Amino acid sequence: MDNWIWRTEKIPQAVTAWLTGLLGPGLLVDLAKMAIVAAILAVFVSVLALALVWIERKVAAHVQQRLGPMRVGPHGLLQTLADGLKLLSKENITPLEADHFVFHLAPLLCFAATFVALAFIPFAPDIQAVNFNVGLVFVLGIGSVGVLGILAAGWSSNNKWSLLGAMRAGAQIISYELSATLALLSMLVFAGSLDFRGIIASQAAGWWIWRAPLVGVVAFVIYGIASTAECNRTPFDLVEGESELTAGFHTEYTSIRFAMFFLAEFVNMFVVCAISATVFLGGWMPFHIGNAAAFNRIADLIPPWIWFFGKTTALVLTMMWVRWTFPRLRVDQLMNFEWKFLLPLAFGTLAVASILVTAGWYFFPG
Amino acid sequence: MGFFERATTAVGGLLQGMGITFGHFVRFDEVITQQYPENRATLKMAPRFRGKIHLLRDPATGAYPCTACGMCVKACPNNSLTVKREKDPATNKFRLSGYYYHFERCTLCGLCVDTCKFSALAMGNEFENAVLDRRTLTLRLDTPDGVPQPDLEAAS
Repeated sequence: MDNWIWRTEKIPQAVTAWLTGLLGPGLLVDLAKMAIVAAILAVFVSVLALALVWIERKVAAHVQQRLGPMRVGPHGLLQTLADGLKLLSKENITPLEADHFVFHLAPLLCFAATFVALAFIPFAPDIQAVNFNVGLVFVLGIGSVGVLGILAAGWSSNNKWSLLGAMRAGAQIISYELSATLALLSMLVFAGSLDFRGIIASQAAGWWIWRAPLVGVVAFVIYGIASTAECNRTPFDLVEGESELTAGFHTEYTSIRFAMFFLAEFVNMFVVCAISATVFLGGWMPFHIGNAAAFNRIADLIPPWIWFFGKTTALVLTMMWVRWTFPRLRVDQLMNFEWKFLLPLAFGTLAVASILVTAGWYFFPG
Repeated sequence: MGFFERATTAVGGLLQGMGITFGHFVRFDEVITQQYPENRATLKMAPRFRGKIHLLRDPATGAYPCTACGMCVKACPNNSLTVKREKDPATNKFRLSGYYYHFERCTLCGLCVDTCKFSALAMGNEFENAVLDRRTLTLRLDTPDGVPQPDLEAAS
């Protein structure tokens, strides 16, 4: 258990040592590390999007007693790759009356927002592209740049449907971001840190979802609902609607620009699930119970990156399960639910959480 | 109903729905989709699928219960059926002497089957109906072995 599978912090150390030997100490090593990490993340994002689209289609199919893609590759594994290649080979159309600069910028904004957010997520000890002492705030902030991309897309398309879809998306994401942030904040008062490392380190005695009595579960559910809305997924997918808005803000987009919106949407789902897993379920931290050393050692037998990806995958699958079960809400229902129910509940949770932390009424304090 | 009662009912309904979809998700054996060309040998057809009509035949005696009354011919909206009959010299009653089915004109509406008083007709399950010569779509159904045979003379 002392090799790189369990102690993943050895990987960056080894890479740094190798690069220093190769290039000598100095700026070059840092630049080389940046390039390597960027390349790894780019490959990861592409593979992740392909995998998520395939999983989504399979989940949808089996929920509806179908089989889903079966023809391209074993069980349709290569279907999304084929679809992606087809999408890239399509003509790249820009509407004549569109605002060209913004029109071309919007998909990049959307994609960059999710890509940057991914860089802050700790996949395992020290397997994190950027370590930042207010990482969570930064990720929440950069998530809002995605909304800007959507609004820019809707506005610059010069199309009524696109604009309406973008406005809906903007209103929805900005509204639900409040609840999502408040739910995360209720856990942050327990964790006492905005750094992803600090948040995970604070859960060494147990995950916050159960160590914060009741508040943890309530905040987890609130964040789950709000993040589903932020990802524009059913039952909150009012951004799209064939009968009313055609395809919403990406109606006028084709080829690789459409693919970038699509990619951002799916990777965004992974990002919110990863944040949820990190803040509520301890990220890569194995399941620990206080100071029950024997039990904790058994949980440690599973490598941390398996814990992280297991939790995130479970959350992603739950999100897909919800998507293919529930019908969508109306716009007024969506706004009523957020402003009249979820937001007061999130404020209440935050208040109760603060009281609990001040009084020390949670499991294994200190 | 009060607010909390309605909220509880709503959450209960959502959880029930998720239970149903989870049940579908884990039951791989209940998948309805069929991989057609691969599973051709084990293809499961829906019992009410309407394929070519069959003239039923008593498997023991090889006799057809059809009395050649011609009601199916009258019911057929596009003249896909032709029933030929002859007088049986022994009993002095009509009997079937040729049941012709013009499949090229049939819309598989099933009115002939509904009309038949003697349960002598049924819809089959065949759906691979492509042929290279349209004349072979005209079939004689009352063959001695019960297998429909193309009848090129009756073909129009």
